Amino acid sequence: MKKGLSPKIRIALFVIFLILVATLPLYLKNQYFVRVATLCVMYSALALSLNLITGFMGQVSLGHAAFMGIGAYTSAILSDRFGWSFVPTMLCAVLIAAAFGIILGIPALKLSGSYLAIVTLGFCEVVRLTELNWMSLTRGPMGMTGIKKPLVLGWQIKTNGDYYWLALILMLIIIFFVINISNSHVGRAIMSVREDEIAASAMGVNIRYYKVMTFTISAALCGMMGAFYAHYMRFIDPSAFNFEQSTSILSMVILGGLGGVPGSILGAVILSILPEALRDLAALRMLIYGLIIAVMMIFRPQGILGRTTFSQILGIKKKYAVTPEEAAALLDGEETPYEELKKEEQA
Amino acid sequence: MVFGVLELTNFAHSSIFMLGGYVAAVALRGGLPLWLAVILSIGTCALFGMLTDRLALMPMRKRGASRVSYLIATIGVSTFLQNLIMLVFGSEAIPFKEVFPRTQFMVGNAVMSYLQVFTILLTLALMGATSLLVYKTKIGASMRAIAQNQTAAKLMGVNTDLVITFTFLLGSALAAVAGIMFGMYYYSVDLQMGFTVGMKTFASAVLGGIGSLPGAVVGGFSIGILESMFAGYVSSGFKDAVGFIVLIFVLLIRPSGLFGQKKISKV
Amino acid sequence: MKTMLELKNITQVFGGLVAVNDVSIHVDEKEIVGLIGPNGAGKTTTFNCITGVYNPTKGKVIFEDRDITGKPVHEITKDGMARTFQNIRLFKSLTVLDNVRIGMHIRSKSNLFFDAFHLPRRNKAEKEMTEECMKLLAMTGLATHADDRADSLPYGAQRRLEIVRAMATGARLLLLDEPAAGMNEQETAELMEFIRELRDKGYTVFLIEHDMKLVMNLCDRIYVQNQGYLIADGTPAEIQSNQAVIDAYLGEEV
Repeated sequence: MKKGLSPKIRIALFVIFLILVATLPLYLKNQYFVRVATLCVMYSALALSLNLITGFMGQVSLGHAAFMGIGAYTSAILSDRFGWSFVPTMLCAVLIAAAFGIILGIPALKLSGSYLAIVTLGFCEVVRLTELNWMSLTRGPMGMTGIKKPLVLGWQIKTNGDYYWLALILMLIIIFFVINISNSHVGRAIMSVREDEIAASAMGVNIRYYKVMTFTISAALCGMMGAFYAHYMRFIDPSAFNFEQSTSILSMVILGGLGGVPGSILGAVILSILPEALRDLAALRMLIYGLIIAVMMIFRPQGILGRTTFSQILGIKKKYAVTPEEAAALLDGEETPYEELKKEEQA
Repeated sequence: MVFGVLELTNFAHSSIFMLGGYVAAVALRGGLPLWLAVILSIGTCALFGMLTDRLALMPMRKRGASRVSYLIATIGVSTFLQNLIMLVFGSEAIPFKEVFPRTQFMVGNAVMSYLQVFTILLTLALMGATSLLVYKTKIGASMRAIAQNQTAAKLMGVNTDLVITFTFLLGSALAAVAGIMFGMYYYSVDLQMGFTVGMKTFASAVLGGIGSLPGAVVGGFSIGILESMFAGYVSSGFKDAVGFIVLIFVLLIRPSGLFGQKKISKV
Repeated sequence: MKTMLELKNITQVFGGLVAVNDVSIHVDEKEIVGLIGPNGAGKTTTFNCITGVYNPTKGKVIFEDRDITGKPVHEITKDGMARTFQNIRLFKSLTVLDNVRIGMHIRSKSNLFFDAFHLPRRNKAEKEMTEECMKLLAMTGLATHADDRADSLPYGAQRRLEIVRAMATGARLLLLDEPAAGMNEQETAELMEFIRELRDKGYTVFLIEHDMKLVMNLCDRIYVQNQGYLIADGTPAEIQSNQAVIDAYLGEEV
């Protein structure tokens, strides 16, 4: 769609787009639309968290709604009982979700493929049952009401616009982490696990360590968005964090593209707007999600955008390939890694 | 069964199991005789199983999709079916008409009902029939061949697509029977049944050791007993969580299960 | 000469099948050693026992005077031994450069913290790593394809990429599982030249190969495995005239 445009024009267009996104509540006067936009941003952030484990590492998790729920309840309880403000409750939500990520990840990631999907699904259900039955802590099926509007480092969130900006900031934090991680040696190790576990371990990648680590990061980020969800909806009950929620997030990742950042955002935006646009068909929501998952897998398993990165969209992806002459120049005085290591040892 | 042949867990299976229970429950409520309800239920499930394979999985096989794609596709189909059932039959539990008298009788020291006897006999009969089919017939041989090596089976002239679809059909028919038995046993079908039973079956299989038949039986009994004990002594709200908790402990302590063998990865 | 790798009476049993039976092998520093034998002789299984994919039923693997038997695969790689695979196991959908950079993974000076926050230390590590990888690729003529998907390379180039990826780990000992499989004569000749260069640079090479011309011309010593057992070892000349070997290959030209 933007093919043929020079990087400069693309970047200019992208900056305009970013400004439009950032100032959305200023010109969008319809409060309902602002709330939908906030949902889009929140689900984008959740989809990115799930994409880290499912898209980049190739491990299907159906338990991410549980981490979101753990984050939401942690944050809501701390705010409700102890009157903590948003930032510390959110950090606690992140830590506790991460802790559960480790506790589940260590045994569950011994499995892969469908076994892992089933175990994470079971985890989701156990967490939901706990939320439902631990009345003294969570008020069970009645849910928690009247969660305070967040106070973020002196910034009192009041309007729908404020919520939108808060969501945007949190999403940017997640994008920052996901892009940085995927563009580094840790990210490459994660992708090598998706590509071929045996070859990855033969290259020195500690598979279990990376699996548990990625799962934990992913869970922690979901926990963070859970905290936002609780303060945004100002009401939470166990049914918000069930298997359907996990499937919804998964379908966003799949629609947009496994293993790509722009894809997850696009998928989340489409699937957040769709149910609002098709209000009359609300009962069909999950039916449509299921259908989208299956149809995408059959006809376009890479999703709409696949693994496209922002730098590819902007046409500024770094190229590494060299001409044969440059290659020859590279070889002057070349030492193999082994020779270099030996030298370092001597030094 | 489908899993054995294709090394592929079919998430849609639990939805088909549920469908079987629902169709039979509704047919019985509508006044149809039992045999007709059973046939209707088996037929519907077999049809849906076949459609799942033909419409979703066959195009993916043609393309050579990755295992993760299959998994995700069956999750999609399962979600779709589950919500379709909810749409068609409503979200309330549907009572399942009593087929057997509730009277119980004593065998030695154990209390048994006709239903239990019937369930056990039917399970044994189906197990027998299935093993006969898999081990004694030509199509069974083809199934086993595909389980060993799909490409090789194809080269040897096995119509893999046909056999795999048949496997789905058969597996779905069996799931329908299981769904009907579930309905008879609990006197109702609901939207949770697919999930709960799927989870328990899986926990039993892992506890017993994946791929081990006696393991699955022992695993199933252990989980059942633990569950009743848990419900009785601790809290009934968490009853359904027991299977999962056991599962996590088994994975931590003995990932290969009680009877399983360590799998050898091929390089 | 220093012994680099030593296998002491390695036995590997699967169920009732003895895949590797009482195999003892030693590889000295800067040697090129071959392991040959008919299909199904247990050669790759022997490699798997060395690299930690399998934990041998009996016996010991000693690498540079340290017992590495039963260590996890990734730790053995860290100790300084890396391998290639019989059926090419590249990270297919990643770029050629990324494949090599993953090989360099264990030597990265960055970690999750520096990566996640994009700190200068990560940038420096990343830059050094990329430069070194490009040089390695240049050595094998793959630098011009650095941005291509690994599975878009021709077959021979994929085999070379696997060797480069193994070198990137900083290994001193390279285990090559049928490096010439599927290569034409020209490519095989280039490969032989490349392996000789490796030895000149100080690498030790232990390889499995079916191409007799390559093995006989390249290797200093050869081990022959048949039905799990080692049936012969010696210089290429000794092996060519060994009656047990000729019998094992049953008339095949050795």
